[in-house]
Amino acid sequence: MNQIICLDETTANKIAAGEVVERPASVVKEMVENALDAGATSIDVEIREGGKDYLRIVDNGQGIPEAEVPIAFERHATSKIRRAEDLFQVLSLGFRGEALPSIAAVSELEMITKTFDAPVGTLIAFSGGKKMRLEKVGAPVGTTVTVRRLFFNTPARLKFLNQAASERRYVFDILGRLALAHPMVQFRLVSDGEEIFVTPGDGNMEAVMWSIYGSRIGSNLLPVEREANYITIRGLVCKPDVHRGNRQAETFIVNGRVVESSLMASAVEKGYQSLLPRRRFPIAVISLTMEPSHLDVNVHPAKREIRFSDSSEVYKQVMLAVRNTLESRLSFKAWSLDSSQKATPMATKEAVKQPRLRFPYESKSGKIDSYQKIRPTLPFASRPKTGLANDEVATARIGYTPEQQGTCGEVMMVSEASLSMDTNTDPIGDMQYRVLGQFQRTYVLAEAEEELWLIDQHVAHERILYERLQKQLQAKRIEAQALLVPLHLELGITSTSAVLEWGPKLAELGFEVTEFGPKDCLVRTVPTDLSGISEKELGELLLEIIAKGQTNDYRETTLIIMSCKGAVKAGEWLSLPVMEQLVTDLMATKNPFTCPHGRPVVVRLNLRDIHRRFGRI
Amino acid sequence: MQFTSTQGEMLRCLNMVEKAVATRDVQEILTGIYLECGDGKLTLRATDSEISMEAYTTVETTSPGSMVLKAKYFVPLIRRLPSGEVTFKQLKEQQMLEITAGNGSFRLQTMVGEDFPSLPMGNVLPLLEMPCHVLAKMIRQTAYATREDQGHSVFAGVLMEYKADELRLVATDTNRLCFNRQTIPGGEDFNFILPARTCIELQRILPTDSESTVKLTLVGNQVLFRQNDVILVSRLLEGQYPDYSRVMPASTETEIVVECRELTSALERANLMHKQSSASVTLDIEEGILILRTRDVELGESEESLSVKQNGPTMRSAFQARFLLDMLKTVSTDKVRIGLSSGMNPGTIRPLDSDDYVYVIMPVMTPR
Repeated sequence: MNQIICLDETTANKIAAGEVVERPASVVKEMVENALDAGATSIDVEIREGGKDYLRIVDNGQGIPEAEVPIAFERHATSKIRRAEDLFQVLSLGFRGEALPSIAAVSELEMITKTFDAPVGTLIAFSGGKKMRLEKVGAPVGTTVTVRRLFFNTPARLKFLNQAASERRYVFDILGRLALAHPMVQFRLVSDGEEIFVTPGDGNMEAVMWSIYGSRIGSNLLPVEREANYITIRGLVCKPDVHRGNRQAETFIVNGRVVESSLMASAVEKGYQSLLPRRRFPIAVISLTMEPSHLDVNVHPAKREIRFSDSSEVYKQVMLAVRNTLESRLSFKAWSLDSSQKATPMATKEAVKQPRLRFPYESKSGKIDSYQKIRPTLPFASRPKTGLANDEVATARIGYTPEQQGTCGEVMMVSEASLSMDTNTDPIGDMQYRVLGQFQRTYVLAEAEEELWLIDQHVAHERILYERLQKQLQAKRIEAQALLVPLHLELGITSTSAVLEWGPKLAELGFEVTEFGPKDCLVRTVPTDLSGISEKELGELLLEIIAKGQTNDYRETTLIIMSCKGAVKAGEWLSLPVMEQLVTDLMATKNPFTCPHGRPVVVRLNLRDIHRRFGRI
Repeated sequence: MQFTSTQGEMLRCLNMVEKAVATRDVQEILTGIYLECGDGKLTLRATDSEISMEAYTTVETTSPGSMVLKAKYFVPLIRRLPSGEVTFKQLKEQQMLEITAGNGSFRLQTMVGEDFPSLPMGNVLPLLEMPCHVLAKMIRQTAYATREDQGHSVFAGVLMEYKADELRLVATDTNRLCFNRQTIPGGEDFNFILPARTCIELQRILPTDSESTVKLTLVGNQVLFRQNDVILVSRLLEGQYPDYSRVMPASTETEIVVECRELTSALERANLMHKQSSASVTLDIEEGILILRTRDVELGESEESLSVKQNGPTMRSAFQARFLLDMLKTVSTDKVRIGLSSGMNPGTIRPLDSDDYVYVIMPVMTPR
């Protein structure tokens, strides 16, 4: 058995580093928080290769007095608290005294610092936790921390770092959030020599949003303000017509600290009520201020999480703050469907009885041999023959008696679930069908032998497009339309870098995306099926592909999304020939019954069931 | 109000303004047509707040006045009246209009005329006067390339630009671009983006004879076209139109001259071999022969060759067939000049002997 020993300091620091320092972005977060605690009004961050090789944080804060410099690199050395009781009164961002030694343990770190009253500055340098230099240097007031070769002595961690583009994205993300939490401080981020953003530092949160997300989001923000009990809420939410496929653009701040809070996220989303499409998320920044005694910040080593003493109160107030903003600034009518306007029930219309002419039928037996004779203008849309069945057999079976003809129209009014509405998935085979019309501009009605079909026009079309795209992709024939004027997408920093990171995969799907400044990108080709797409739709589509493609096969995901975007929508009027084409194409698909999302396409009502409903049998 | 006109004249005027009637019932009054008579003149007006149209005619006025009539009922009624004289008389107490024609008399509910919005006229002098048939042709040769866009981006409209006695119309949906220019002397410079829908309505009111002219005026953010006794006012699209001259290639690597009708019908046949409207056709040019090829993984394939006049090296390029057809259908000459370049460079199509109508089209990138 191994002996129990006390770990040496370097090892202990390496272990601690694992908790606090996961990636370059965490170094940025810790150092920027230190700078903020030091009262900096301007913070410059520069990274190279996503911060893996080099990152530097320059602040104009108060600096560290020469004598205290070496102590700052001892574990649990902090100027921010003095005893455990202080934890519940913490207003500063850091307090654990772990950041500096942890980072120094796993990188080559150099710090230059000078206080306003010191004649010269101090330089201290570490490599893998070992002090290399400590000397006097000339320096401006403030602190500059340079971190090189992060994780050079912990290969396991180094291996888990993502490619530079991803790490860069994490840095953009965290620095953007910190800038939002501190609008009074000017933040500047430079990556590989290019200025990514610079915030004005004039206390205006909206200006920070502009800097980070660009004008499309920046110009659609609504201010959130609420004071209730002990909580003060400030923030910005985006109008509901701009939204995202994930929670990436939600920022939560508690007492100036950027936190992750599923509680606040769900409160904000609740505040939007049904204004956002399903599975879409708002763009919001919400900042709470309250007495420190109402929360516990010492839950997570990196202080990412926070515990509220009364979480239901926080939830309620945040939700109300968001809802009040949206309600007061926007007319809710645009979204809430007034059910009385939606459908005019037949019953409310003035009933005027229309006597009908009764046509004498030629055949006394009441049998008519085929539909073509009754309605010569509406020919059968027929599926291409593959089996044995011939026309005569098929049509002869559908003939029904004249007195039943009148029921045809009224069937559409039946909506109760008591009919057998199961989506029958028996093979349709060579059934003859005929399109009757459209119901509520959403469903195509067709009759086929002894069945009435209700076909959801959107999902039917989606199925057709999906199989078509799938075949093209298998045949490697996704064609891309080059664009004369590239589409300019303003997606904000994190989304833009995500899109660019996905560049090669998107190119395979027909989207050629190039960088256009840190917040924007240009799309130079789109798949030919999407040649009429607008910037807004395209931006949403790309982000959706990336968001969903993380977990699933991105090709499959793209096919599903593209077929959904390209399909006719519910509520669109379709002409009879178009509906016939739609049903013909649907019948030719491999799986006409479910859409790529798994929803049913066709609901089949059996004549027997309909008869039973009318008391005929 | 009371006046007398004829069924034919009333219907002609109604047909002019009817398209501007609001279809959605946002403001009820806008679903109506405004009538105003006085001094032997009848004014008809309709607006959906995007487009407004006004028509004038002379009538025999008994007493002046104004009112608004629901277009949905008024227009079909006039359409079905027997030809000949029609008398319109307002029944004050009942807010009704009595229409008498032949042996029939009809009473229709009216709305109050004072509530109807008026046209932004002002005393602005027209910026340009031009022959109607010229403008109509220019619109026909550009408007089809606009983008169907609910977002109201600049691509949903046609750029109209007048500088140094030259009128230029430009439209693009970012896949292709139409450029059209004509020398029309005597105007003042202007530059605006006309919504695609306005273009269609404008084309409809422009007579085809070679004499008529139309005058154009800008009033605030609206444009006003006046043609004889019809006025069309439209809102303009806001935004910055991209610099189109930068996407128009100065030259292309290979140029061919081809019979327009032959090419059109060959493309139409090729396009049948496709299930998708967005399908592409490959153009191969070698030694004076143009070969069109299409392939659809589900349906089949096609190949057809045409002899052309070739100037430049062998070339291969692919385009969406519908984009080529859109343009070829608007050309009035027998032959067209097609310029092609390799890679992602745009191709051009123009009538044989003219640079006044240029179509710039981006290729489709097909995987190897």
